[in-house]
Amino acid sequence: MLAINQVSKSFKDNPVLERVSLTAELGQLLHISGDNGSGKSTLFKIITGLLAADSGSVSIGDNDIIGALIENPGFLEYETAMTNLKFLANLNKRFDAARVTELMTQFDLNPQNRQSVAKYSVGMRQKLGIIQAVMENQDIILLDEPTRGLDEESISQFIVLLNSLKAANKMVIVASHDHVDGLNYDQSWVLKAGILEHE
Amino acid sequence: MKSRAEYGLWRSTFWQVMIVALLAIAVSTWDLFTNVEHKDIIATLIRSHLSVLIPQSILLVLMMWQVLRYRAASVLIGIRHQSELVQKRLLIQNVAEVTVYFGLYYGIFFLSGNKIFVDGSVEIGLLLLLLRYFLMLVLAILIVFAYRSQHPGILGVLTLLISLGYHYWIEANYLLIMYSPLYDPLYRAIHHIYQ
Repeated sequence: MLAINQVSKSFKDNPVLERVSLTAELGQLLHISGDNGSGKSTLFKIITGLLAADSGSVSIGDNDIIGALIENPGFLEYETAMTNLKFLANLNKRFDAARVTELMTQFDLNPQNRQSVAKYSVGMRQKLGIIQAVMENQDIILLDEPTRGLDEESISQFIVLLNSLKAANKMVIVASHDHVDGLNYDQSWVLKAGILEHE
Repeated sequence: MKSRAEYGLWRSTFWQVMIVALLAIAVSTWDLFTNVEHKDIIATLIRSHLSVLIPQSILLVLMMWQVLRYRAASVLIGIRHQSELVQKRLLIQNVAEVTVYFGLYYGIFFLSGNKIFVDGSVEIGLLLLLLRYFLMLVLAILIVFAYRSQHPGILGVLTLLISLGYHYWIEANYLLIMYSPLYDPLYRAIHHIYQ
């Protein structure tokens, strides 16, 4: 369960989020649309605890784990994809080699590839960003512009992944400035000038 | 059994410590061989501009690079609520690297068989050796703040300036003279010591 209650956030005197409220349950797929700079990433950063809200509150279920892809994901640039994923998952001792290998294969990334992440293309980094957001069996998954840089085949795989996450009773919130065909959202919202409204 | 990915991170940490160890061995050995005339430890390892200017600046840059490497992944680490853990690990690694560096840098001279404190008192000599080690420890800790800092570049430059400022100002003008008047330029000029 995720409950966002009257969250506001300003940077200096510039209001980015104004009294944003949203409630969602596990097993739901949500979409938040909005132009660049509309506050989508800020909202995700507040949900994950990376940023503190000026006012309002965010609460999740006691045992829920949040996974997120926010903006351009940064990695340990001179390490391999597998080393990065293992490092991140092991921060909370949740590395599952079989799951990570399955996800990498699904997204056409070679788990044995010894190339450093620094040499990855934008699309490959994006796939890695999506994988790290779901590889630890996270319950609430926040994906900010997840299809940026992905080719059509990868977008198809992404849709398959999201549908399987939903079937596994995970909550997924996709924030993007456009719609991805093939996804049936349970809730659709639009964030405009810091105000969140039903679409 | 550790997987290849697990070895990946350990390998880079191991090589960083090895580079620091090799740097210390190379500099200490170089100082010993090039300072044949005057074997005092303070003259060789503290007063020498070159051994402070280049290798200790390299040590600071290496530690900064290590912190910036993890900083790149700070958002993904923060989402997992483990920023404190990573900074703690970086702190431990930086402190270990400074300790390895100075352990070898001083240790090689101590084990070389040379008489150690020739020009001044043992107490002030030891104090000088310890002060430089502690200064680098403080800078190593300061470098870890680059993980969260908005301006890590400024922090990096600041640590280099503190290290060099301490050497060229505090050590050269006050501490070395306290250890021995031989390191006072005026005393040397009066007594025609040009070596």
